[in-house]
Amino acid sequence: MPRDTIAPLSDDALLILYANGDRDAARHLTERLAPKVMAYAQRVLGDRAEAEDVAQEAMLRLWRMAPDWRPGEAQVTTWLYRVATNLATDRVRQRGRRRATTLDDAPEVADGQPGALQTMIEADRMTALQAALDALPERQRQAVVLRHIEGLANPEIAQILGVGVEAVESLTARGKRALTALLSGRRQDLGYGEGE
Amino acid sequence: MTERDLLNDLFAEAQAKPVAPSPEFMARVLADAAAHQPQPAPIVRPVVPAVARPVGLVARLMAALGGAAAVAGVSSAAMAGLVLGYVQPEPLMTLADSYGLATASTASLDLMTGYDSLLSVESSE
Repeated sequence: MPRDTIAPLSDDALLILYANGDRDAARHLTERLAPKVMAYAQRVLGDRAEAEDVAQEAMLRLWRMAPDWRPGEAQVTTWLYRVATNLATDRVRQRGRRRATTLDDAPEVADGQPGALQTMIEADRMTALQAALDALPERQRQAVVLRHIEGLANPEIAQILGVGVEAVESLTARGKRALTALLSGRRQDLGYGEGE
Repeated sequence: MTERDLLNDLFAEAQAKPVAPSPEFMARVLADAAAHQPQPAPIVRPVVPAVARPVGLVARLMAALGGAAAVAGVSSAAMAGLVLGYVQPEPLMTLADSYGLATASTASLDLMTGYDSLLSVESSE
């Protein structure tokens, strides 16, 4: 089936096409879903190589499950986030320790041209955010990333984490409080003036 | 700016600039997709069992005579004999005379008696 014809289709429909042997559907699903699950895994794990492994494994499970997929029962993205969450949790337990990144790992902002300076400040902010996220307990980190970076609604996060909506609200609230505390006093370091 | 505003700004920045996957990672995912994609089942035409048709009288007669070609040959020969018998073309009669097969008086069959007299009446009027 031509690509422009299947581009507007839902993830459900594309997965059924994939299960029926449509190669364009495989490409569309990959372009749509792989970056999402990869970005989520990286935020949760804080390590690019591990995130790629987890995202690839989650996508592999999606391909294997495609012939048995029942449309309408769940969203493909919800299913994929749940698989990635479980795989990431296993990874964290396997390595048995927190990632070494701390807030002190954020690079110092060097002198230079304005464009380069802005790029470094932005990179510095993302590094600082990641370091703060890494310092959170695992479930809080997952809930905060899904809610405030991936932009999912609480009921969907509840399905992904296998908890109730109230538990999600509690996890995200505690996570945000902890992040605020971790980042306190970093405004100027991260390129924000006192008056902003 | 409060600490909470700072956090919200960082979230917004992270949303606006998501982590970009490497081309190698995307290629690996696509390769997995191709390797595990189910192949469409080949189209199999249903086999229709042959139905034995009842053999009619004409078909059995034709089969006894040797098939359609034999029946056509016999029919053609019969028609030719009938035509030659009634038309009696001159070359054929000459040939029959040479073999001494012709008779002095040729038997004829008048199928429309009175037709000749009708013609003679009409021509005289």
